[in-house]
Amino acid sequence: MRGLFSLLFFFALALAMAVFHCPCLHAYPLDSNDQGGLRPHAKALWQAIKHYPHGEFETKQDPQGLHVKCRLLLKGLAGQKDEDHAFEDLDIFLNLQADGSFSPGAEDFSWTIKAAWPRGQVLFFPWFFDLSQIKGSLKARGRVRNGSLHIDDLLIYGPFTIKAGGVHLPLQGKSASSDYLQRLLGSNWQMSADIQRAYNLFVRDAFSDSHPIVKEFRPEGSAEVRGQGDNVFLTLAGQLLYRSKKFIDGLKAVVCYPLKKDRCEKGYVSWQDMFLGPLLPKGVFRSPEEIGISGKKLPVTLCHDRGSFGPLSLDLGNGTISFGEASFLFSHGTLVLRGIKIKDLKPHKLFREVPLDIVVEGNLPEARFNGDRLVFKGSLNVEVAGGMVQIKNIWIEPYAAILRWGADIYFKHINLKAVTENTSFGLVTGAVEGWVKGLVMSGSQPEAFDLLVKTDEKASHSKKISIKAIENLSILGGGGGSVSFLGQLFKEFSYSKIGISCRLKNDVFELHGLYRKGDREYLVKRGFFGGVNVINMNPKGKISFRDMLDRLKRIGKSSQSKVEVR
Amino acid sequence: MIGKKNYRLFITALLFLVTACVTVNIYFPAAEVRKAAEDIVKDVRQKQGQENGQDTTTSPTSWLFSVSEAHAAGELTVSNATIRQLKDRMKKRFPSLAPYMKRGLVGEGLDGLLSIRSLAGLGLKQKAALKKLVDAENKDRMALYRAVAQALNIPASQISRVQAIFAQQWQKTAPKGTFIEKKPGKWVRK
Repeated sequence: MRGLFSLLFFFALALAMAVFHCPCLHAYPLDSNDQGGLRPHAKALWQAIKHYPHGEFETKQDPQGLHVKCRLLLKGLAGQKDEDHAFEDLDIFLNLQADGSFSPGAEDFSWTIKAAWPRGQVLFFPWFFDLSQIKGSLKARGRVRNGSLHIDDLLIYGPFTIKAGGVHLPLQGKSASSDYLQRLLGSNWQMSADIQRAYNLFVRDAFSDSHPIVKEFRPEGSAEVRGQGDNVFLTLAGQLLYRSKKFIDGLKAVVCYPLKKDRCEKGYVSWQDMFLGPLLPKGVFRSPEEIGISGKKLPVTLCHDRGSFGPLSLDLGNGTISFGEASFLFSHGTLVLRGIKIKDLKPHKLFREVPLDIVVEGNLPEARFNGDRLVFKGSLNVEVAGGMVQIKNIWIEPYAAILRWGADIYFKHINLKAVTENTSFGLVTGAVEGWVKGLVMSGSQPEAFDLLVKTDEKASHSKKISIKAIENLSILGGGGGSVSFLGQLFKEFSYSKIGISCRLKNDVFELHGLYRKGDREYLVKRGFFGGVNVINMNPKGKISFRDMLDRLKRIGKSSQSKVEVR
Repeated sequence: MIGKKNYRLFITALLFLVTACVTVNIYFPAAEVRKAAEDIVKDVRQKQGQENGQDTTTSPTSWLFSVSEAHAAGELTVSNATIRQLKDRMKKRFPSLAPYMKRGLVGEGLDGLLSIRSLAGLGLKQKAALKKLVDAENKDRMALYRAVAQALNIPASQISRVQAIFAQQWQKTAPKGTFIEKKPGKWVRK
């Protein structure tokens, strides 16, 4: 933010400072070496002016003082403060006039300045501006008196319009840049901008390399930032597109930032419609056009050093997600979320690829940053396939180079018939329980987990497994997926227990059957009176990530398996 | 009353015992880090099409569990989803960086990061583009070092050692013309 404001006033200040130390005021000719008192930005410009003077000036002395007119055409300017701050090929038309007393130490003169920059390049890393694309001009008038610069009117046209007045800046003594900023913000000023243009200039072009997602957003509309008294007001109206599709329509924001330390101001962000369709790949939502959140108003409170927003309740049509408050400290960049609740959320009605009826309830009372990780307290409870899944210890690393998130998942009484009957895996009946501990996802890929699935002895379901499921389990266990001729005579077999553990770490899967007899490890164990055994053919070995992918690809394609049938 | 000599002896013995108690041996798996660095850097710097004919197309199995086969292709001693994705990004970025390295504008530092050696001959727009490129690469490299350290249970305080080992590999495989930091502050052109 500070960088942005510094940028906005970079030219205005540099020009103004250069003008007040213009050689035509103190000494002739233009190539005077008198640079005393110049600030660094002005010095850079001064160097440039010294080398490219094209212009004219005239002075007139009368009882009212000295009258100075200076017209300069500065072409091909270049200057550099450091590697990150430079300008080159800059053309500036400068027209300035000053009238009054210029006695050193007792300056009292009025001034007007008109400037335009039709061409040039400016680097204010990470921002780069090609001024030929964003031509701009500046008009200002004011006074220098009692060692202070008074700007009565300032008008800048460029990628945005800035109007300011009543700005007072000390020219003598040392003032921190934050003091200048505070004074500038505390004056009466107004900045209006086309949001898309401003977003492209200040966000998309500067940050799309490091954060490619910013390229996907396109805000449209207009924004106005206004300083009045001790407050800075932001008013915004427009819409937000994601991948060229409307994401938020009728977006409106009215917020106020207090410049005084002990105050807080209330505002809001509202929208008419929010469409979730564009956020996920095509075909993921059942009916993208129906997935929307309408007519919401999000209260926003801004204090000098912190901000908060909420509460908000989002009705997705098939469930509600709400949160009480999100608060953040500007100085630390910390975010705390409170009172997150999920009620009666039905993902199977929202997403196409969810084959089961699922109902999600959740209570996450707090989420707080621990280092780079946003850690959630509480849990999500998911009703699925006649059983219950609990998701705990949820965390997310939103600022990581690759977004990572994770959780621990516990499940019980999961009816396998409901899970498998509509999949290509093959039908299995019975119930299972287990967990996925230490799940870590990197982007959309699994990075680590510790999975255990075993027969839930408490559930009273018949335990049958189809030929197809046997083949697929056999493939997972490293077998060839071939069922003997005898086995082919049956469509399904009974079993006593299913028990599988699988761990992923460092791109290596370790797959084990939970039941052992001698050196054999069983993924599926037959009952006392017969049934089927599925044996892990690789009980000591490990499976590489690529090999596991191959096995997963083979699942569903195979029609053969190697199993013991009795 | 303990004599002065005995007192000194007692203190020395006590100090010896205390230091003996607090001695912590930190195992640093240098060989594993070196192997990981060799494999990862080789893969990043490998030219497109030099991947033993492996399929480089991305074929997500579903939106919930999308895994790129190309990512899984290089089976390293140290790898996981984060490392694969970072490696993939750096690999895609390398063709853009290489010309700047060959021109001696970008150097390989001893800290395993890229350093801009000169911006001579570049317009302001190119300077901005190069700085962004180097920033993005260094951000990914630091994330990579953290991921490798995490995978090998190396404490965060030892990251600099991981960086130094990777630096050797980056320097070794850097294109001709690249500035290499041989000793702290001493740069030579390859």
